[in-house]
Amino acid sequence: MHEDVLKVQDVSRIYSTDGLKVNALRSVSLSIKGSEFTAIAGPSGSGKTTLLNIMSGLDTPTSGSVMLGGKPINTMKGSELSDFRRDHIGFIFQSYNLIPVLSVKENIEYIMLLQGIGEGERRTRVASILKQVGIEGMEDRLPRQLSGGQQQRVAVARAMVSNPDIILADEPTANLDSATGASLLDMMRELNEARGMTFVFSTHDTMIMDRARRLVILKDGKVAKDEVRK
Amino acid sequence: MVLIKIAFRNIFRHKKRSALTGLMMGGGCFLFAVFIGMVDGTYGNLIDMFTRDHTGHIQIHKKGYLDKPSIYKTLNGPGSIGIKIDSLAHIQSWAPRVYTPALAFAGKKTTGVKLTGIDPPKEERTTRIRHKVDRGRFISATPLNEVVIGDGLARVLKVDLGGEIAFIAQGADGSIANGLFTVVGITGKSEGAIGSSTCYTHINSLQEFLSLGGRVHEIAVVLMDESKTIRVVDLIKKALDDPLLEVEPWQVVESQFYRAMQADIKGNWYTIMVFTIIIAVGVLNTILMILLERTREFGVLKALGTRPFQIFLLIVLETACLAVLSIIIGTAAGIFANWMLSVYGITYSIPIEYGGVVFDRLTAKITLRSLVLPALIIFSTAILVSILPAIRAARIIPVKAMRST
Ligand SMILES: Nc1ncnc2c1ncn2[C@@H]1O[C@H](COP(=O)(O)OP(=O)(O)OP(=O)(O)O)[C@@H](O)[C@H]1O
Ligand SMILES: [Mg+2]
Repeated sequence: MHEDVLKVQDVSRIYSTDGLKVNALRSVSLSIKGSEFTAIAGPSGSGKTTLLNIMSGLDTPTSGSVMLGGKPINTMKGSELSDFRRDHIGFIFQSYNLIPVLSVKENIEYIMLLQGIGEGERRTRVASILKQVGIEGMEDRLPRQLSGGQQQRVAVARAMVSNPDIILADEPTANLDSATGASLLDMMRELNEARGMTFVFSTHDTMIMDRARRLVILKDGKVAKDEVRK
Repeated sequence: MVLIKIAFRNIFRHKKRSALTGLMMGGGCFLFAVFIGMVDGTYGNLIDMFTRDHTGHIQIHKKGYLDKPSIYKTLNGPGSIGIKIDSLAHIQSWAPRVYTPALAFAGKKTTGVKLTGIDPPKEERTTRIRHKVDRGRFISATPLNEVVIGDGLARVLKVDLGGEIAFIAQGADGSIANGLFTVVGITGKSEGAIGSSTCYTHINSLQEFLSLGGRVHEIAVVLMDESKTIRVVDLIKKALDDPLLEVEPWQVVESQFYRAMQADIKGNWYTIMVFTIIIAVGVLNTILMILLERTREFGVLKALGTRPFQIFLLIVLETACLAVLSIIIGTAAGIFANWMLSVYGITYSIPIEYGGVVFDRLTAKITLRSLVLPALIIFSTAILVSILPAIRAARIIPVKAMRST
């Protein structure tokens, strides 16, 4: 029913440091459809971070291609790539990475400001997203005045507010205790259901994996399992 | 723009470091402002003293007189030249002069002197020679064979007020001129080295003494405003339109003094350059520290879709914001200090003699360039220094930056 938003085709990534070659990804192919809620799991060193970085254009594959919305991002460079990421990809990092000198509201607005979206539109979007991620009333605080869970909610809001095609999250719950992590995931899933937002996130945690609707398991840089759940 | 907001707020993240960097830039700005203010004030003062004491701003001679003075190189009809000068703009007044070397005798003492004939009323309007008389009085307006001599000469000749000096010189007609003059005034020590050999007398007395008729050697012109000197030189040249006359500004007439002053000013610029380099190194150090500390942050901004050029701008803007803040404070302090110096000055405990002029007070002047130049120097230095680190920040690779915590 949904088209492919992201298509990873035959992607390999070889890291070579000090003459030592590491095959982080070996010929991985994967399609993400719109409105999917996908977890990428696997043991440490299996290539989860590498795959997410390549999906987002932060890293380039040694071979293979990555198409986002029908456009190859593995060949983009400089401002073109920056603008494409800004307009089509939302990011959530393991360690929140909010801009420390900007308030919650300004952090959420940041990408819209880069995009040149007008003030009225920004305000309505920020107000509605604040409610959806459950941090109303905190919009004027600075990141350091929030707990980790709250900061990650702001990060989710920042990733969502510009309506990207896909949101990529590398271990978004790794820095949170399991209860906080679980509730963050529940919130993400609600947003996925309510707004049809496409999420791909990586995790170690089985409790988090259980909340995914599609589970991709990597092992030694290869897709070992790819299953759709309930 | 959101980048300016981020840049500005980042200044207050490391308050101590920003304050220190700001202090360097603001302090530099302050120092340069006072420096330039003092150059403008003190040299302005010095030029003023120099020109108004004796030289005047512009001098007119017969061609070749400045190179090789001679009593034969005279200006005919100083009155008609004067009328032409008076008709020009920016002129305050002018005074004719006659010069001759002479031997002076008083009792058993004798020495060589430079006799200067002046027109007392005109000289009074033009220079401050009159106010240099310490004891006795100035030469009367009518020619009465009176002389005003320097304190040094009075001691050499052992004469005092009312004493008589006999002068011998060569007249313009080839005869040996001699005459007896009465000392009516003695100038003080403040005249410096010139004082020991200068004698002023009435111009008509000297003209008669030398059989010069109505001819003079020099016309000194004083302007309302020294800065117009070069322009008025051209005006006078055009008005006189005589290739046998030499119209020169004080910079040429007193070229030795002028060159000494220029060398001094150049030295001041070297000092400013050295300070600028020190400031540049300090600012660079801060920016490199910022780059190191915030590599991860710049990586995140890039990952979020901030363009490389916007990251570049962020660093440059942050430097610019801090520079502007520092410059505002530094300039304000500089204006205040220059104002204080211009009103109160600093009096030297030992007066300094400079090119024959004694000056004992350091003053400053609030000039446009004492405000604009320091700000420009500091601002452009800060921006220049931030460019390379900014390019490095723009090239940060997000994946690498975010791996290194
Ligand atoms: N920059 C790099 N240089 C060299 N090797 C690298 C680099 N990044 C990752 N690797 C290697 O590539 C392989 C995959 O790493 P990756 O970080 O993608 O694993 P991961 O599944 O995210 O692991 P974790 O669960 O620990 O985060 C590992 O063997 C790792 O050592
Ligand atoms: Mg990882």
